[in-house]
Amino acid sequence: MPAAARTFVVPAAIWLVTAAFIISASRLGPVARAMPLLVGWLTLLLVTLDIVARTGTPVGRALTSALNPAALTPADAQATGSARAFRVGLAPILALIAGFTLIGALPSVPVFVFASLRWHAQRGFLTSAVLAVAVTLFVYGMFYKVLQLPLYPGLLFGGAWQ
Amino acid sequence: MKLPAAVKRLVLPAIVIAGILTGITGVRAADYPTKPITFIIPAAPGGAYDISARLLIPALQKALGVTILPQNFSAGPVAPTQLYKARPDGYTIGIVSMPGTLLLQLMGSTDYDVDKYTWLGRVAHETYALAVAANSPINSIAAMKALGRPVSFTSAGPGSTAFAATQLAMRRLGLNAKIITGYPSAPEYILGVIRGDGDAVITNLTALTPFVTSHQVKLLLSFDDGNAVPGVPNARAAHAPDLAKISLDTLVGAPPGLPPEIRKRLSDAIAAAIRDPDTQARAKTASADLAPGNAAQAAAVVAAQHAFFTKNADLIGKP
Amino acid sequence: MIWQAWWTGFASLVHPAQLLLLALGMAYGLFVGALPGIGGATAIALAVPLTYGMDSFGAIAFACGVMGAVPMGSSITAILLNTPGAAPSAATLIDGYPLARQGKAGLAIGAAASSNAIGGLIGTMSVLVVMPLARRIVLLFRPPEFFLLGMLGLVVVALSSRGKMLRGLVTAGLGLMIACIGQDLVTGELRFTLGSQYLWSGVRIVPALIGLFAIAEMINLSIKGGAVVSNADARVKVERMSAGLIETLRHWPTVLRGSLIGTVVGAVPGVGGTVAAFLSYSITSQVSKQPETFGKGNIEGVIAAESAINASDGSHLIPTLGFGVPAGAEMAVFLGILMLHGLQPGPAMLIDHQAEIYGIVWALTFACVLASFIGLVCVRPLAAITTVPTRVLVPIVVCLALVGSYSVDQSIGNVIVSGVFGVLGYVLIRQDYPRLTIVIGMVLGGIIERSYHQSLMMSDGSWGIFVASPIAMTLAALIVAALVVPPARLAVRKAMGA
Repeated sequence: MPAAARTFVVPAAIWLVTAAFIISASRLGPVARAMPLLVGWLTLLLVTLDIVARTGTPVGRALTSALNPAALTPADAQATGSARAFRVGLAPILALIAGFTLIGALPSVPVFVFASLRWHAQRGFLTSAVLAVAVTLFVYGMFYKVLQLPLYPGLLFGGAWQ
Repeated sequence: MKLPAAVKRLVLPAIVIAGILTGITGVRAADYPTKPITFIIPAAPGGAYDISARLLIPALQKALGVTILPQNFSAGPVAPTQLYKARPDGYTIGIVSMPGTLLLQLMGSTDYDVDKYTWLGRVAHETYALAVAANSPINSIAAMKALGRPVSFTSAGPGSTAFAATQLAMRRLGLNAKIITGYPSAPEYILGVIRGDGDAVITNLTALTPFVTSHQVKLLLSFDDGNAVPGVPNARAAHAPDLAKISLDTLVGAPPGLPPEIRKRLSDAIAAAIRDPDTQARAKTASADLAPGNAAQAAAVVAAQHAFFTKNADLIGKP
Repeated sequence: MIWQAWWTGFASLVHPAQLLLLALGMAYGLFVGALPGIGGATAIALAVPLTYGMDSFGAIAFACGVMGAVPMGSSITAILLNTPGAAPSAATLIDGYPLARQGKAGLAIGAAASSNAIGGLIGTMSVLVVMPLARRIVLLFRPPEFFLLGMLGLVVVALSSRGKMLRGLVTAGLGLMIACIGQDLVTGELRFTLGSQYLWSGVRIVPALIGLFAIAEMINLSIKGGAVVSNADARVKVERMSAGLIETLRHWPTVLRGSLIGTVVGAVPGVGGTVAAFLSYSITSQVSKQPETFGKGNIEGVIAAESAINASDGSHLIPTLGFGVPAGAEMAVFLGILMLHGLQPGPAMLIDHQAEIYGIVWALTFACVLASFIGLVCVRPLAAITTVPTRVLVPIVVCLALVGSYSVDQSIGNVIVSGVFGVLGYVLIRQDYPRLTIVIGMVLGGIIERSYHQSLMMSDGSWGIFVASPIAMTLAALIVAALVVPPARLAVRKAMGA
């Protein structure tokens, strides 16, 4: 996707989510939908102005100057969706959350810490293993034993889905 | 008839294994409990149900000989669902508030059925009451009717027991009234009446008592058949006996399908915990009213309330 | 009589057993407060069984020790790791964490500790002064006043995003939309729950904040690498203990303003420390001569937030003790502990148990000041955390954050919410949308909506109720001022510059 087009992705996504919100709200009863509709329409207007402000047209530049002078210009928009960002930043955390949900906290924590330290932080096997065990023991000891807060067992081991 | 060899190879071992497992399960039921028991509390820490549950825990631990782990959840369907879907092995029990849990089920599609829980006992039974601000010029139901304008009640939103009780009272007492909803908890809608947001409030006596004792509200009517509050007219005196059908019951339940031996063990332990002198002393200090009941009584409460609210579904305020 | 009760309350606390319990509660609160997701309410709730064997003064000392120390613990993780230990600390991290990235973690923690102590002192002392008037103060705020107070908070914070007002308003709108998720308290209708029972109670604020700030920042650091301290060559400046204290005293108007805002907002039940912190932060940034430095490591941002948080914690006692109506979740648990020990908060307590009330106030003051002192003393070792390489720190912080998020009410939905908000937060960081305004929208949306509908129900649809009382008129005037003054100031500056 060209760099200039990338600047519209996020506000366009917000616009679509807001539109869906408005459509969903309009099916509610009159009192229940009053605030959601008001907020939804106002937000839709603001996001539209945000999109226009990014177009670089005279109207857009005027809006940016008046309401968003410190905002990034289209040329400076930072890439959020790059493959590297996903691989290095987002994917491991999403994997941890998936593991947490499916197999529970206690197995996921040492696996995640070990894998992160070993392959992302390039630490040795022993260092990674020791830190993984230490973090797990801390989680188990502090949350489960001392504070008596249950740790999630995972959907596959009887954890509730809610 | 000669069984095929393959069947013999499969069936006989299966029977043996089933027998062993049954034997093991039988042995396990006799040993129960052997590990900590989770006690689900459908309230944030410090809430009314939380206090009742935590009062019981020390004596329950003594009776069962294992640790009881309280697990708090915010109000809503999550707590009853967690309890309903837990394994019926005796290691998860919980507080079920009635009719709140029932009303949630009737309001929307929930993943539990109140009729199917394994009931273990009842911890508390509370009456509802109608109150006004201490400095209110309204001193009786008759005066309320003679106001010449709609009476305004402060309450929680539709789907709550307080809302249902308020709707019922409006109808049975023949009041021209409106309900100001949206208050998130009992102290807030009681404060609403003291502030003058509304004229009156209907809620359970435990929530009202501190405000009555400190002379901030006065009781005009108690929703019971007897003499729950000396000097205050009851539902019969107000010619509205139906009001006594709304009450707040704190029950203890377990997931459906709990083995009978484990059910008995737990029911007996809960009854012993409520009767324990330490529990009674702490309850007295905390001004908590424990009203013990056995499993059968708990089941009867559920059946009665289910029948009542099914018949009077419009009280719930389902949108 | 009151002086007698003051002295009795103080004397009951200055007793070896009580002081020991206070210190234990404080140590526990400091440590647990630093854990993500474990806010004051959970911290005290977990300690309730420990109070069974204590007498009432002992239980009060212990609980106050916990409550006084949790904010300090929470601020430490907010500053060092961009991870709010409790919701109000999300305001501290906006400038606290950037300071840590500049190698000034010690300065930030020292300033947080000092303003924590001063704010706490002012908040609790105000309780002593105001308690006899507690009833009148609480009764002054009805639904119309709640609505206007909420709107004031929203307007002040939404317009505070210097140079990015349009994007700030967009995220404020997002926050308000998120606040609509769940069962509507007014009508009972389920809104935007997508068939999920978890969402019946709406999006929980603490897991959302953990995602928006902690997880988002960890994603960002994962990609960028290095250490929390952004200049890898800079050594962490190990400030003396007094550096943060000096900065706090230098900015005494900010401390006073934050404490006043915290005290006033904290006295209103249901509004909470988070609103006080964000309101104080936003107002301070607006009146500052260098507003563009906020969000980039301005020590005044930390001072404004921290003084408001602790002041509000103190004044939360006003509706809780004066009326028996808890000001928030933490006070609800504290109320439970008082009731378990035979104390019934309310007007009767104001008359019959004055000594206990002043004992509570003294205990909270002691705990707050002591916890802040410990924070000051531990500045050096704590600041060293910021030099740990992020690729080692990130997996550890993420694990603790998600376990803490789950612990809020033992729901896996919280972990997923943290993940979703983590991704959202990361996107907002990279696309330069403010996150402050999304938080204020989420926190205030519920109060604004329900108090609006309640006001109209009370007045049978008449809008006049919103200007019917002196407080309502004052709040309405402040809203107008908040809308008009900043652009007017800007126009005047431009004209003078031209």
